[in-house]
Amino acid sequence: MSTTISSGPPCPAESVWDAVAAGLLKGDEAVTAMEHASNCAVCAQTLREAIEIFAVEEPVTTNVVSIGVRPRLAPAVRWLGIAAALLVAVGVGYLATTQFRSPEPLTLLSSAYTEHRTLDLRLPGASYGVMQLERGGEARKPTHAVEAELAFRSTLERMPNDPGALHAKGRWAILYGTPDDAIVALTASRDATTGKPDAGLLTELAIAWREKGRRSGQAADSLHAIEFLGQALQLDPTNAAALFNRAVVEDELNLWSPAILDLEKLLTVEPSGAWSEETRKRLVEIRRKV
Amino acid sequence: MAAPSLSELYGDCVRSAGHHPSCDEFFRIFRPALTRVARRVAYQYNSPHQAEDAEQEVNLKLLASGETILKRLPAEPVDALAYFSVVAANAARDFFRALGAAKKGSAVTVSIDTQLSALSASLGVSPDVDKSLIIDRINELLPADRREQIAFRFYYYQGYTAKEIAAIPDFGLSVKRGGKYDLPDYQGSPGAFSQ
Repeated sequence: MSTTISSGPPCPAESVWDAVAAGLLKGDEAVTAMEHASNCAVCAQTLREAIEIFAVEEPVTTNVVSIGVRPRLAPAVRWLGIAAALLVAVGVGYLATTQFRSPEPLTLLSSAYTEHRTLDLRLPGASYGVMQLERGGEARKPTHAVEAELAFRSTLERMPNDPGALHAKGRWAILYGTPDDAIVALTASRDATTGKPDAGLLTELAIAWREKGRRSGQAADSLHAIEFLGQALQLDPTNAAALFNRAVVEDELNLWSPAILDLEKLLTVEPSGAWSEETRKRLVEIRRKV
Repeated sequence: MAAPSLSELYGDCVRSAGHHPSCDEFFRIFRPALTRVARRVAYQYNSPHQAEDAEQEVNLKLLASGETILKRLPAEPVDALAYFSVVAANAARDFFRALGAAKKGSAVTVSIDTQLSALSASLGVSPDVDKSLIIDRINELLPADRREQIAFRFYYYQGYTAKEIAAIPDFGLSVKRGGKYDLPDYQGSPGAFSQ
């Protein structure tokens, strides 16, 4: 639902919203336009679409002055470099196809998560694992995680936009890297995927934002997590990981009623098993706070 | 010698009708932004498979309307890039409109119903109370600053997400814990609006 508060002045042209979203319109002119949009559902939607187009997720080089032509290497050095890179690529590719042919890196990372779970949130599709306290850079990397890293790196060397490998890179970064790296990789995977995004991928994007929020202390990051989990649940309303994770984030934001609703729904979706035990414990803890 | 600016590269390219080496350099620099804009417009028109066609159309537009674009091109490099992006978005939209492609529905965002439900507890009103009453209550508590008022209206009236608001370049909005836009604190702390 969106709201039109008052009729006010006539709506500006679409190009004005482009100029606002692209940063061309500034100062009072921009504020006046935005004021109109904040009270006009039609213009708010047009502006939203413009934001969607112009939002810069990957940095765009504007410093043209600094862009020069790279000095050319001597041909022999260049070809030696290319040959070396090819050898490395072939070597890594051989390793990937022989040693790590199967299973897939995403599956390997799910196993690593279960085997040595250091994340309180649920990784989509992963089996239950007992929560351990070890976190961050000191966390031990299970063999599965190392195998997965080699596999997705190898794929990305050949196909930098491969959605599956980017997804695996994001999942790896959630577990063993940084939330920022995870967000970049998972967003790239989402953008490279044709058709609707996968609910599991959105759930992992939410995990990355929540982890980022925990580190930065910025509540807006947790809000992003809730947004992505909402999107995941729109695609798959009974997604157990998304329901569980949203309840955890809502609990952290003191939004206990929605957290309880999510956990109760989760128990109807997943009434038994190891995960349900943890769900019940969390439900009891949150009910105590209300 | 300093490398030429994006505007200078474009000027050389236009004046040579696309035959100057500057054309390659201009498109090399602008291509990432151009591709992104074309891809996102194509997505809005439910036609991601035609993103490359739209990009080609933008290339042609940039060359065909060169003199007009040059007259309006801002001097600042950052603004020039923004201006080229706006031109690209317009050309891509024209392309899809000419094809008769229909725009898809609004993007998935946090709904205002969710926001208002969460807020109702903070404001001390029943979740089932008429939404207009909650909006009136928010209006009473709006901060004095014009931009802050806009941010509140975007968030609560139009269902914008914090990310969308923060993405507006001229807004100068920063969302940080304990700050004015620390919405969860408002939601979790009754009466926080009046503090």
